[in-house]
Amino acid sequence: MKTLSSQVFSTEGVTSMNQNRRNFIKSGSLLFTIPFVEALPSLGFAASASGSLKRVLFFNLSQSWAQDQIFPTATNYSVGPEGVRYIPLNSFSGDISKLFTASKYAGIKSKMNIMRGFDCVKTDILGGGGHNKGLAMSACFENASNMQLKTIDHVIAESPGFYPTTPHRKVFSAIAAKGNFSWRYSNSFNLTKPIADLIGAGACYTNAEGTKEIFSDLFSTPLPSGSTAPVDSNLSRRIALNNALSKLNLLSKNTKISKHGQQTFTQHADFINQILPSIAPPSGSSSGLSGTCLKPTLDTAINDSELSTSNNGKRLRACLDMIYMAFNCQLTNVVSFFPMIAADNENAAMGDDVGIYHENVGHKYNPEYYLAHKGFLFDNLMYLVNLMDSTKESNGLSMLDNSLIVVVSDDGCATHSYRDLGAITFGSLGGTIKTGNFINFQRTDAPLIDGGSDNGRYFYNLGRPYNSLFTTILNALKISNSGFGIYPTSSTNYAPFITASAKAASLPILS
Amino acid sequence: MQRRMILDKSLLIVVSIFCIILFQNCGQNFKILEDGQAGLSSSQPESDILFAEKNIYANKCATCHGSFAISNLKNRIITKEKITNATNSITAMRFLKGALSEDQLAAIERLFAQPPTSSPLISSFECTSPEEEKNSSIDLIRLSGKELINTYKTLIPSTIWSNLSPYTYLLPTDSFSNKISTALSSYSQSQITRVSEFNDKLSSEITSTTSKIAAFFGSCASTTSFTKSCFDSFMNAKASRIYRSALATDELSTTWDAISTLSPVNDQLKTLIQILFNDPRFLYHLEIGDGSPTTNGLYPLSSYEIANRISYGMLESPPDDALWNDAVAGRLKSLPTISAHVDRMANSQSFQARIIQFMKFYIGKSPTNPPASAEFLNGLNTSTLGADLETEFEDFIRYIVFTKKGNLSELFTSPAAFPKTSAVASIFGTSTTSSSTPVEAPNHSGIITRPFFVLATSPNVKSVQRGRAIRMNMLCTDIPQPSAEDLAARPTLTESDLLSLSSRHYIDKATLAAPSCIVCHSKMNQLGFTLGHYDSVGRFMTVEGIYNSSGTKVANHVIDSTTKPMITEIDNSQFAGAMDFQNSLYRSDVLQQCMTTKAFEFFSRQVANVSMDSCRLNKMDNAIKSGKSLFDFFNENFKQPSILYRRGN
Repeated sequence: MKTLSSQVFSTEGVTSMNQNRRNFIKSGSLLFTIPFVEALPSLGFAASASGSLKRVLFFNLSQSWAQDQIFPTATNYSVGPEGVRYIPLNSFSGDISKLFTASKYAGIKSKMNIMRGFDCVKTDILGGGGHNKGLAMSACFENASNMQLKTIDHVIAESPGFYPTTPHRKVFSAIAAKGNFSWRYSNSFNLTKPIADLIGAGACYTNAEGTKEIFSDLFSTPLPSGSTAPVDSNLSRRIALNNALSKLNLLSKNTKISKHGQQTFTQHADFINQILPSIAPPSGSSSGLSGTCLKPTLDTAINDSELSTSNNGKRLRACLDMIYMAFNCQLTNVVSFFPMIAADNENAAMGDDVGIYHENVGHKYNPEYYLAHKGFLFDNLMYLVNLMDSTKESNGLSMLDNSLIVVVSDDGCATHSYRDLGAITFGSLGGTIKTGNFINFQRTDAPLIDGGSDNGRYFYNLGRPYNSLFTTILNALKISNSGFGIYPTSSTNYAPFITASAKAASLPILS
Repeated sequence: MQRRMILDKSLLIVVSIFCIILFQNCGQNFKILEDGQAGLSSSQPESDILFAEKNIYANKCATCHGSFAISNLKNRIITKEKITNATNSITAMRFLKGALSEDQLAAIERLFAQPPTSSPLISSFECTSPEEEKNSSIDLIRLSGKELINTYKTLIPSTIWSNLSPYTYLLPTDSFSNKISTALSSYSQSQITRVSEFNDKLSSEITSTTSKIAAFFGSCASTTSFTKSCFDSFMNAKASRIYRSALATDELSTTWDAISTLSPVNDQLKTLIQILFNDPRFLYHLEIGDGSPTTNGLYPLSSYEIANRISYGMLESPPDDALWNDAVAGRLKSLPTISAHVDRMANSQSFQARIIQFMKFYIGKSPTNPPASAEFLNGLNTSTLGADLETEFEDFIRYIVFTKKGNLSELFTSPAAFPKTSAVASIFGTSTTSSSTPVEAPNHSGIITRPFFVLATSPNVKSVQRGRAIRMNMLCTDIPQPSAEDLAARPTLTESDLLSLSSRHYIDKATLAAPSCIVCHSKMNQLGFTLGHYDSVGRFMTVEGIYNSSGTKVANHVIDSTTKPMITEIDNSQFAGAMDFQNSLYRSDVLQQCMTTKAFEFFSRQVANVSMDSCRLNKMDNAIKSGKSLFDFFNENFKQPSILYRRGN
C-alpha cells in the first residue's frame, strides 16, 4: 500500500507539470527541492515576494562568441514553441563544446543555459565599432544619448516589485582589478544614475585611480572590525513556511483533491507568499558585519594565469568572493561585474580599458588565445557558480537555484559585431527560468547574413532581439515592463518581434 | 427529478422560511427560489404537464409552502376561493392579497387537483440505494482552534505545553455557537500568520533547555547534538503522528537535508519543529484517498484518514493509540472494526464532553449572567449561579444520553434535575443532589425548561429571545435581525403600556402591528410564550413581575402560557404550556430533521449537502424517528459506509 504522504506529495496526481523542470535539479543532490521545483509557477512568485533570495549577477565581457569554441556543433535540435531550436544539455554525454567540457560542466549543465542568436535590432543608435559602452547591459542602446536609459541591472534594482522596502539592495557594480575604468563607470552607471543609487562601483581590490576602491563606495563608512552580524531570528520560520509552500503548491495541483481543496491550498500558499517578506533575513549594513560578511582578502595561493604577471587571478577571485559575500550577507541582490584589464601595464593579453582580453578575443578571432583566455574567465566564474550552488538557503534551494548569473558580452559571434550575440546563464531564479538547454535563437527562415570574420567568412541567420533576454528576466522577476530597451519602429527583419505583445513576451524555452 | 426535489426539501424549507420573513423585500428571495426552481426544471421536458402551473406555484407559493414536490398543500383541497380567503385573512399571506390574477389562481387550483405522484415519505431525507450510502459531501476542512489545541496537547509534553498558554491566543478561536459555517474550509492570512508565530514560540520553548529537547526529541538530542540516527528515530516515532499519516518514502532525507546544514544544533531543532507544525498535513484534515476512485467517483479513504475522521469527529482530538495502531496496520477499512472503535470511544469522558458541547450548540446557548436586580433575585445567591446552571444542564445531558441512554422523547420530557447548590435547588423547587442521581423537577421537564436555557440578564421575561432561539436553533429556521426600517416601523409604547400589559401582551402590541414585523414575530412570539411560566433564572411562576430599567418591580400579571406556536407553517395546534408544547415539539418532523442536520454538521464540522449527504442524514433521521437512544443516534453518524469514502469533484 502506498503511504498517504507519498500519494500526497507524489507527482502522480499533478497536472500540467513539465518534467523538464526537474532537469535543473542536480540528480540526487537536492531531493528536498524536487517538490518545490514541481510547483514552479507559484514558487516564482513566492521567492520574489519574499524579497530575499533572488539575486542576479550580470557577468559582462567585451569579447566575441566564437561559435566553434563556445557553442555545440551538434545539430540534432528539438524544435520548441515559435520554432525555436534547442538541444537539452543532458543529451551531451561528453563535452558540450570546447569551452564547456564534461570535466568542468557535467555537474552543472542541468542548471545552465547556453544561448546564441540574439541581435541588436536598433542598429541606428549603435556606437562605434559594432560594440560600445554598455551594449551588453543596455541591449544595444548604448550611444551617448541613449545611455540616458537605464541598464538592465538598474531596472531590476530600482523596481519596487523586486525590493520594495530595501533601498540599500541596489546594484553593486564590481569592476575587477586595476585599470582605468572611468569611462565604464561613467557611461554605465554615472551618466544618469547618481552615485547614491549604487551601493558600490569600483575595483574589487585596488585600482589605479585610487578613488573608486569598491569598499569605500559600497559602504559609506569603513567596516567595523569585530562587530556581530545581524541575527536572522526568522530563519527557522522562513524555512518551515517555504517547506510548507512547496507542499501546498503540490497539493494545489493534486487532482485527487477536490477543486475546493485545491483552491484552499492555493490560497494558503498565496498567504504564505505574503507573509514571507515580513520575515526576510536581516539586511546587512555598514555596521554589524563580521565573519563571512567582511571584505575578502587576496588568496595568495591562487594561480594568476592566464597570461598575467600581475595578480589577475587573485584579483578576479577577490571580486568573486566579494560578490558572493554581498549576496550571502544580503548586501545587495543585483551585481554588474566587468572583468576589466588586469595587468599593471594595462596591456595584458591584449586587454585595454574596454575589458580584459578585448583585443585578442574581441577584435579578432585568435584561436591561439581564445580558449585560454575565455577558459580562464569561465573557470573563475565557475568558482562562484559552484560556491553558490553549494550554499543551501532557507527555502531549501541553493543560492544558485535562487539566483541567475547571466554572462553577456558587447560582441556577437563574429568579431566586433552586434549580431548573433550569445548569453550563458546559470541558476533559475527560484525555478522561474528553465534551464538545461542549448538554445539557438537564430531563425532558419530568416535571411542568411555574411558576418565576416577576421579569420575567414562567417555566416549566420538573423535571430531574435537581444532585448528579449532581459525582458524574460524582468518577467521572471515579475517586474512590470512592456519590453526592455528600445526597438525600431519598423523592421523588415524583425517584424514579428516589435509588436507590443511580442516585445513584452518572454523567450520560448527559457520561460 | 422527483427524488432530487425531495432531497432538496430541507434546503427549500430554509429558503422559503427565510423568504417569508422578508416579505417586504421578497423580490430577491423569490428570485433565488425561481432560480432554484428553474434549475430543477432545466432537465424537465418542455412537454411536462402543468409546467406553467408549477412555475406560478414556485413564484408565488413555494417560499412558504415548500417546492411543489414537497408542498405542504398536497393532499389538500386547494381552490381559488380558499386561496383568496387565505390571502385576505391569514396574516402571513397578506402580501399576496390582490396580487394573484384569476388565471394564476386557477393555475394553482389545477396544480393541486392532480393526483399525488410520489409516495409518502418516511424520513425527511431519502436514501435510495446501498451504494448511495457511501456518498458523502465531506470536503477539505482545516483543524479548528480547539482541534489544534487538543492536537498540540497530545503531541507536546505537558511540561512544555504548560508554558505555551500565553500564546494559545494565536490559534484560531472558531466559536460556533449555534450554526456550522464555512469558516473551517480554509485559514485566513492572519490565522496562518498567527499559527506560524505560535509554532515559532513552540519551537523556542521546546529548545529552551536540554531536558525539554530530550522530552520532545528523545534523549539522544541535546542543544549540541542531533545526529542523523537521532533524527530518524524521532521522525519515525513522532512525525507520522504529527502528520497523521505515513511518512513519504523520502520524507526523512528531504527533511534532514533541510535542517542538517543549519548551525547551531538549536537552529536545526527549531526549524524541524516548525517544518512539522506548519505542514499542511498537520493543519488540515487531508483526505487524498487510498487508491483509485470507485465508479461512482468516491475515493476510498486510507486507514489513517478514517482514523482521523472518526477521532476528530467524535473527540476533536487526534487518534488515540488504539485507533492509531489500527490505522498504521491498515485495519480501518472494515465497518465492524470501525464500529468497535466508535463504541469504545463513545464511552470516553471526551465523547461525553463532546456531546454536551453539541447540546449547547444545538440549543444555541452560551453562558449567561443572571439579572442583577435584587428585588427580582429575592435573596437568590448568584455568585456562581451562571456556572451552576450550566453544570446542571451538563449533568442533565450526561444523564439522558449516557446514563439513561434516553431518546429524543426523554430529552424533551424528562423531569430529571441535578441541582447541586441550594440556589439551583431553589430555582427547580427541589432539594439538592450531590450525586449523579437526579431529583424530580416536574415543572422543569425537558430541555427547554432548563434554567440554563432560559437564563437571561434582564429580569423581564425575554419571550422573543426564547422564541427566536427555539425557532432558529431547534427548528433550523433563520430569522434575521430587524433592519433599521423595521425598528422604525414599531409602534411607540408608553409607560402606561408597560404597567398595564403583561409581557406577552406588551410584546404582541409592539411587534404585531407593523407588517414588516409580523413576518418574523409571528414565528417567534408564540414560541416564546410557551415558556411564559419561567422567569429569567428559570424559576417556575404563575404571576410575572414587570421590572423597570432600574430593576424595580412595577407591575404583576397573571401568566397565560396558552399558545399556538406554529411548529410548522401550517400547524395550528394550541398548547397549554411548556410541557404540553415539548410533547409535540420533539415529535415534529422539522425538529427531528433539524437535530439530525445539526448533529451531522457539528460532527463533520461542515455544512450538510442535502443531496450528497442524504443517506447519512436519512439513517440518522430514521434513528431518531424510531426512538433510538440519543447515544446510538450520535454514534450512528460514525458507523455508516460513508465513513469509508470521500466524494471526488
